[in-house]
Amino acid sequence: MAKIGKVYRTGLIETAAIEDVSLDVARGDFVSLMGPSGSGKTTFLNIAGLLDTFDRGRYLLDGVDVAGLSDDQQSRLRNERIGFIFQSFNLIPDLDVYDNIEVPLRYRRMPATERRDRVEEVLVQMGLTARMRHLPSQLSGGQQQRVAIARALVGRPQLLLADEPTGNLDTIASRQVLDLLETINAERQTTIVMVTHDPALAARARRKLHVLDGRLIDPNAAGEPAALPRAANKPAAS
Amino acid sequence: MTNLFYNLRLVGKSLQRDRWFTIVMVLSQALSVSIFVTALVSAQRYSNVKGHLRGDVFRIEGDRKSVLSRFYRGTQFESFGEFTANYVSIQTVRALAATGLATGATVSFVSGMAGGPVERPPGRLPVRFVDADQFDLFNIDFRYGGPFTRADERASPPVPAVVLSDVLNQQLYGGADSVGRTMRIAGRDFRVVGVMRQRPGKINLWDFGVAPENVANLLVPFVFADELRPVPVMSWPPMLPDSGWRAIAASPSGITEYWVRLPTRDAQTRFAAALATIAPRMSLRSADEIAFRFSKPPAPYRVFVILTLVVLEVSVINLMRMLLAKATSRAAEIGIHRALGAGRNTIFGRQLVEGVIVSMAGSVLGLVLALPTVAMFDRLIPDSPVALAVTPAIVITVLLVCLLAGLVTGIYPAWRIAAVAPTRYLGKI
Repeated sequence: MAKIGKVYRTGLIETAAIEDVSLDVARGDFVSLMGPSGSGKTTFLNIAGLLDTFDRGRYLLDGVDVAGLSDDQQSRLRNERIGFIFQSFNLIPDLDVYDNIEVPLRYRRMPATERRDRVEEVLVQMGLTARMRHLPSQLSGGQQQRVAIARALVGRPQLLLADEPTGNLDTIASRQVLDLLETINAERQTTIVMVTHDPALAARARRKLHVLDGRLIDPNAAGEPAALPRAANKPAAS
Repeated sequence: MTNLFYNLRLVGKSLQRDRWFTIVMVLSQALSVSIFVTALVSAQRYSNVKGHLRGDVFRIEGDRKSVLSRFYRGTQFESFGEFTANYVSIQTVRALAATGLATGATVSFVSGMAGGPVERPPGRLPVRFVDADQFDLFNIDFRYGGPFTRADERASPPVPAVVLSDVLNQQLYGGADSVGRTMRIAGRDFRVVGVMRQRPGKINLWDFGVAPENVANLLVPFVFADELRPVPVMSWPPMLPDSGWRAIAASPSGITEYWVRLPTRDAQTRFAAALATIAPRMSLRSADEIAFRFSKPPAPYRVFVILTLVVLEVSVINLMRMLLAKATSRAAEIGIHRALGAGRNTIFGRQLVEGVIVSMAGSVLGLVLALPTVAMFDRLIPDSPVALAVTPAIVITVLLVCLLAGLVTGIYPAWRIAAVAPTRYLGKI
């Protein structure tokens, strides 16, 4: 991302959600973003996940300039390369665990047998096989978040965006989720960008960034906003 | 195909989750559709009155600008004035028949007579006097038995055979097979040889021009007119029965409809020339033209159809608002689908299908509800000549109209919901 800016307009009032944000994230990196409410963390994450547009700047995702993509192309890119984990899980209430996890693969038009293999693989990985026919409402918060993580992983994304993934979980479940994210990051080399309020959780990421008033601050870069060191390995999102 | 089923499954789950809302939407559509169907059914009696009639059938008609037509124009008796032009004198009929140019011909007039099944006391019986060619000319289909024939008419003495209309058979015999039963008309016994099949919900072309209750009539060979002494319903100037049938028939007052078959252009030209000589003020009118004249439903029915279309439109707008409200309430779910890779087109298509499904479900239910509604409406119409019927043509028309309405209904909510950025709804589930 280079000099990304996003302004929300309500009538005559303009509010800059993020300003001149530049960030390079290398493949396999684990980045945490901290900041007070309203600082622009979620807006940043939404732009990174192609869920929202930006007004200024340039965003290359794995070398693809997303600004020139149509809605369909962005949807495909999102489906194939990005996984989302939300604070409120965002599971589809009518679909059981299996069907929830299968959703991203459905939009990829993957053959049924491959779809089944992939879903069963993540079900085993997340320890959810016994719950595969349960509806989200029949699961605990920790189990629901595991389903959400399974759904995010089933498409084997290169980039995992987690918006306060432990925000609605107790301490034990939070630790389990973090352990899981670390394992995914380490074993699959999946890039993770995680927004959190919890300094203890943020501390487990390899890179810790702060967002304040819509600007990125790297504590390791002498307090210079948006001046973040480039990673040495190949960028997954830049 | 797999994706289609997947989308349908998601739509089904969505409808099932808000089942009461879905029921309200379907019922709202169904009620307006049932009223619309009732209006269409009422009006459609006037469509395709020609039935299976071939194109070479003509009627001899008088001047539509005649004194009577002009006299009654603009009054409640306007149609009576018009109908007087449909009749020719029996003297003219006999002169035309004598030319031998028509390959088939029939007189046709209704007379109110005393009679009925022999086993019951006589009552008022609308009798239509026709020639045997009537059945061939109008391609009449039979529910039971068959027609009386030219041979029956020409036999000496003529065979006393009669044919019942479906409606009369329903009234007298409850719709059972009455072939072989005996009817007594003006003291003379006749054997029932056939019962005509009434096309569901349609008025027959030959029935226009008589009072609606006379559609339930008995067809009697014209050769018995002399013996039964009928007084034509249309007799102008009026003559009393005391005058006797022969006197009526011999005078210009004895009038009747007269239909002929002229299969070739040459026959039509020669017949028209003969007509110009025998009755210069008369002309030939094809069945197509006559059917076209009657194909337009009377104004009250047209207004009824328009009003129900307005009701249907209001219902469609209402459905549109409900679909939008429903979609908005599920917006979080839509946001998740968008986040997981569903494009705008996918969301649009799914929403559209949902609208069409609700609309079509309402339409099918509306058609079912229309059956009792139509029956009730039928009883309320005082001058209904034939029972109203929900025909396949009506069903197809309604389903097509409702499919279109469903598409129109679904497009706006689908477009609105697909256009919204997913971030607006994520996290609200």
